[in-house]
Amino acid sequence: MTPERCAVVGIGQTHHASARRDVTLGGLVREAAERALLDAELGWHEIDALVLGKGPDFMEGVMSPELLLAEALGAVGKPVLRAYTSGNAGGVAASTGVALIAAGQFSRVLVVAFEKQSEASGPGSTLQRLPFEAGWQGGTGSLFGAVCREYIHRSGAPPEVGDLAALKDRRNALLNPYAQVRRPDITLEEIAASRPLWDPIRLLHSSPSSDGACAVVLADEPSAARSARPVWVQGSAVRTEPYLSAEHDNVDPRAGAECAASVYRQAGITDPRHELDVAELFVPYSWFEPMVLENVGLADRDGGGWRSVVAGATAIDGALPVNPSGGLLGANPIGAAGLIRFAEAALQVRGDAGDHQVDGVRRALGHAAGGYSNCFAMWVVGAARP
Amino acid sequence: MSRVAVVGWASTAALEPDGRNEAELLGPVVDQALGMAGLSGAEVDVVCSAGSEFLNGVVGTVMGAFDALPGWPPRTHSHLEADGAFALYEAWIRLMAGEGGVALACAFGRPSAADPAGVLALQQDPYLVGPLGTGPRHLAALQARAMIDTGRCTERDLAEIAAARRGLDVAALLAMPHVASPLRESDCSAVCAGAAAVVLATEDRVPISCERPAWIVGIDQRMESARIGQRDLTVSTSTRLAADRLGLPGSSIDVLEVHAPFSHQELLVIDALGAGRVGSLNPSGGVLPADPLMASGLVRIGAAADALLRGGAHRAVGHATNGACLQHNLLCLLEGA
Repeated sequence: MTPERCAVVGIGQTHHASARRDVTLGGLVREAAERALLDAELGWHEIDALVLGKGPDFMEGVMSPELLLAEALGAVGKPVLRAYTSGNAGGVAASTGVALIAAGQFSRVLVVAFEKQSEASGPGSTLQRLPFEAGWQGGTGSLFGAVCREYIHRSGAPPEVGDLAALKDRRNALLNPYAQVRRPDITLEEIAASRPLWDPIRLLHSSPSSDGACAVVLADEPSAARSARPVWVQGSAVRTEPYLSAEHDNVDPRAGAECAASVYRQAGITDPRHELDVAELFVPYSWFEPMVLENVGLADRDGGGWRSVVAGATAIDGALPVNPSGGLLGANPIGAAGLIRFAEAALQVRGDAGDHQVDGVRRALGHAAGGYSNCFAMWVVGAARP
Repeated sequence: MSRVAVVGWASTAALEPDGRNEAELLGPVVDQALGMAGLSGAEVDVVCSAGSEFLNGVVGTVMGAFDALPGWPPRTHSHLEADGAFALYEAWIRLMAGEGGVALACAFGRPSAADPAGVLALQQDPYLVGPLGTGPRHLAALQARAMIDTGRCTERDLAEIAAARRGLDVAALLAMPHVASPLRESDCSAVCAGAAAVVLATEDRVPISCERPAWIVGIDQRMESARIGQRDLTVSTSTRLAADRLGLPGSSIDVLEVHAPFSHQELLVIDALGAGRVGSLNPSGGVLPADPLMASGLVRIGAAADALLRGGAHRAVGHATNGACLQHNLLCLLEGA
């Protein structure tokens, strides 16, 4: 039998900030969940099951927070699943929600993802510091710097690519009322002159540390029929590979390429560059935009990614806009960041993205990545029922 | 939706820390479970793993477990921080959603990095309850006391359960001091390291060599409030909800495996199931003698399936729990062909 169809019928997110000291963990997730329910015109009692996504529990110091947050999420008496895996948690959570619908088990599933990094030290809580490991003390940024360096080496990307991609996302973030980082007078020169962190990554190429949450309501076909503007999930996939595998390529990971190929296949897409109208990609450092474009088949693998950035093809009025929301450079509540990409893709399809709306979006890609460029989740959403 | 069956499983428990890391704990059980199923790692489409970084004391322990898992070429893999039974639930869902034909659900726990009771206290509200350092034993003791106060059980009843699971003498156990009144050390599970793996297959992918697949009739799991004061601790409401959904009250069960880290919780779960007949209760010995945290619930489902895979039983139920005082409960109903 074929899986049940699934639609996004409600979308909500918090105003993201470096520290949301006005809310508890429960208050944060509830803010996003209530907005999604309001958007879906549904009550808490109409939700059949929940999925909670977030990054490492070390980020807040609460173990298995789905237990603590049961009441805040209206989950008492209901099935609950946690999604983690890594930084792609928000995307995996959406994928789990889609599976709960597709398996024919539930009619309406609330997917919530959050991170409240101000509760602890983000970089500190991502350091493994294994007993036998040298004290390189780098955190994830130091690894990703080397990955960007390798991309430059392979593709011949000129130094300004990271600055151009960052300028584009930072300007887009100004159009997004939920974005945390707003620099109205940002210039290319300022980005290029910002403090070097991990060569070639500079401060203004980087996503911030954030508190934030996002929620979507997913529905099966009969429930979606009662929704004013359902956005259909045309493809959904998760792919992972071992980061210590000899075959693992940090710049162009096979898991990312195959995850994209799977969602395109499910959606009946053969030419993603022309059949997708917008993409929300997981770009924690601006240098990742060209790399991800090539990995998911939205640019040629010989440096097509950086040439797209330089040509302005990924600008909000370009041929294939990337991150009109501002992406992770606007806010990066790690565990929620993937779900925010998925939700922004759905908002674009619905035509509800406000000032950062791209004209005439029929189909959009949401992309989430995590681990050491080895964990991925993606979905393709569209106006047409699959 | 395609029917899904358990076709293989394996588990290990190490009562004393023996230096094995996550991959070393997990590797052998993954191999054994696949071997029992007659499948190779290459045939696994979906991997759902579970563990706890807090218990292991290292962020990203899922990454460390990759060495033990079928992972190249890339495949669908998701990981959650809870008991492995919830990973099995997700694997079952993903197979029914059409994401593949063979899934591996696995879990690992290595709770030797710090005092597990202190770590589990971090499941509580970090603002108001966490600072009090209330661990699982303190909260379970409140629950056991509430049950005694209502007349549901006595300390002797608890000692009889502990004695049965541990093969010890009731009078000798009752002579031991309390660790958190009314609970004695023997009423609390022996926390240890361990791992478990369960292999699932859709109907068209069940290997021919698997003569008696353990078909999953249904899995249901329900959550309760984390606020102990807002729950009636003398009943397991969420287990009852799940049991109702699976049609268990009044029914006949050949084998029941209960995930009860404290002796009184076995009574709570059995009460909530309301089964008309239970042929064999905890033939595996239950979790009191060996409780590999985060793998224990998955072991219960594996052990329930084992009775069907090896023949001799027709209907089995595996129970798993997560959180303090049975906050989150899962029931898996399995039937032979």
